[in-house]
Amino acid sequence: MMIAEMKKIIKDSLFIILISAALAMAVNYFHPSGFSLISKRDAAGKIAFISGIEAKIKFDRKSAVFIDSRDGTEFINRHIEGAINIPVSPESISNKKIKEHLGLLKEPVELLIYCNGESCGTSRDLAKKLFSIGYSRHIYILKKGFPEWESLGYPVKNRDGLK
Amino acid sequence: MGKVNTIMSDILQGNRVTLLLRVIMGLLFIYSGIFKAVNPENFSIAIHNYDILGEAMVPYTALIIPWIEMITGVLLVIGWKIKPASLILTLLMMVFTAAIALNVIRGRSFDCGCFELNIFGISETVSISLVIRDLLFTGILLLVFAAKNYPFSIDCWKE
Repeated sequence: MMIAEMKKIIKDSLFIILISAALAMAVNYFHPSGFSLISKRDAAGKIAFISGIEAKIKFDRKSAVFIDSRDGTEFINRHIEGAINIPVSPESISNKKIKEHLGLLKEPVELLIYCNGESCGTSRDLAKKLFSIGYSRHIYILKKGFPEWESLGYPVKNRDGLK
Repeated sequence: MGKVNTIMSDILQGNRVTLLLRVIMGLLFIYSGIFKAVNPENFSIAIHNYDILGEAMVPYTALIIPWIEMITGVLLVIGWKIKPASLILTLLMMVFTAAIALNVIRGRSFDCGCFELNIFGISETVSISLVIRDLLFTGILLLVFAAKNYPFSIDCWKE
């Protein structure tokens, strides 16, 4: 392939990417329910990260609903006692679970979401999803996730229902 | 081995197989692009799951990639600007494959948010088989990119 031809291909490629980006931004801008480009930062003010000890206080007072945002298998294997499972993906299951627990989300209780630690991200994804469907109160996220809870020896339920 | 070489060189020369591969890949990306463009929130969640991009980059990526997929997909199907379109998609597939491979190494498993093929019962959970499938797609796109002629295309007609 000639260098001139390759240069032309690269130029055209950049042009296509530019057009795609411009169209994406324009359509999103004029769309009545446009996608928020502020990422989770818009929800950041509403999310509070808490430690395992703080979460345990909420657990003891029964003031929060614990939501496990990991997938179903991980949840069945081990989860915080009393927690409900709302995985973020696959979407069909996630939506089904949210609908299932919609009543609970409307009750005057705090929500505390956890996943497998700081890097798992599904807690924040779920929090954002709940905000996007209209949940307007603060959401707590267990910062170091399930591993911290378990390492502190707090109540955990496993597959056989044992703690 | 000789036969395989002949088949490959025929495809690279530009035959009906090249046309078929080009159109199939184009349709696949149009389909997946539309799905993601309609619901960027979900694609954004998928990108987040990979834990690769910075927080601020995620929504822009979730918004723009579906449109790149749709537009390059249409270009492949109608046969206009095939080389740049297939180059973009090849690079995109390489990035996707690397991202999936990285998360397989990390031992993670989640819905890859790739082509929305779940509704056909085709699993798209991050795994080694998904890496192999995406490598295959990358190879096909490379073939399309490297082909000399493109039958039934605007590019060919313009020449």
